[in-house]
Amino acid sequence: MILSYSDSNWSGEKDDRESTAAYVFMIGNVAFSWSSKKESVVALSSCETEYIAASMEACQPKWINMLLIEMQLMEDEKMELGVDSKSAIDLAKHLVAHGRSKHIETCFHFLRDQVNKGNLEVVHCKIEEQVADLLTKPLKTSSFEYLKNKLGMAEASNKMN
Amino acid sequence: MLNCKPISTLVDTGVKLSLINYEKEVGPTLFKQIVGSLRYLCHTRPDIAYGVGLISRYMVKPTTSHLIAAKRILRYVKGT
Repeated sequence: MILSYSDSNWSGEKDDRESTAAYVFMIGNVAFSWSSKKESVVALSSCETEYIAASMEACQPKWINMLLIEMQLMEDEKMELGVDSKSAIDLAKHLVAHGRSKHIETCFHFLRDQVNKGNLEVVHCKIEEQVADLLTKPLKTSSFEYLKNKLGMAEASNKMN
Repeated sequence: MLNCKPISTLVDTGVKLSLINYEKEVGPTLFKQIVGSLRYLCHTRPDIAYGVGLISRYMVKPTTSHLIAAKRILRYVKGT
């Protein structure tokens, strides 16, 4: 079963106020595909930046799906994208264009298109379970260690035991 | 850096890096070498992806605080 998460840090950059977007794909407990990038456009709201992060993530499952089917490891099934912003999920599910979302660039609506066609499903995931958090912002030691474990990374010394 | 003290997180939560500041500039060559080596390490380690992406933004004109951030990642790598 493949799990995926996407998250972003709105206006994380001090100079140009662009956000950082990240996604992680996991099989079982192990991360196998990840990205942490500064978004190419300035987002006006945290909803918008999460939406952009999720649409960057949406390009990946199609390819992973084809690869796994080719390797006969998986049947064709709908993949779930974990997003922690309720408003971004609603934006992906429903065709609405009101004042705060009509300016979002066309390429980012790839996500909505895939969701409407039934290839992808956007699900809400709790903020504590959001492993992509690790790839978007500086964290305290405790949450950093916790999320690092969730990513499937172990200390070298632990592995020896 | 071989005798440095290891640290548990790779990015300081209290410091906001900026492109324009009035600190002393450091040699870009060493900075770029550190970033390049860390980028290679990113292929196998998702935990450092954010920190390395962050310092990669300041390769043009690195200053003291950028170099400190880069060295902090090296200290983190040493501890893991």
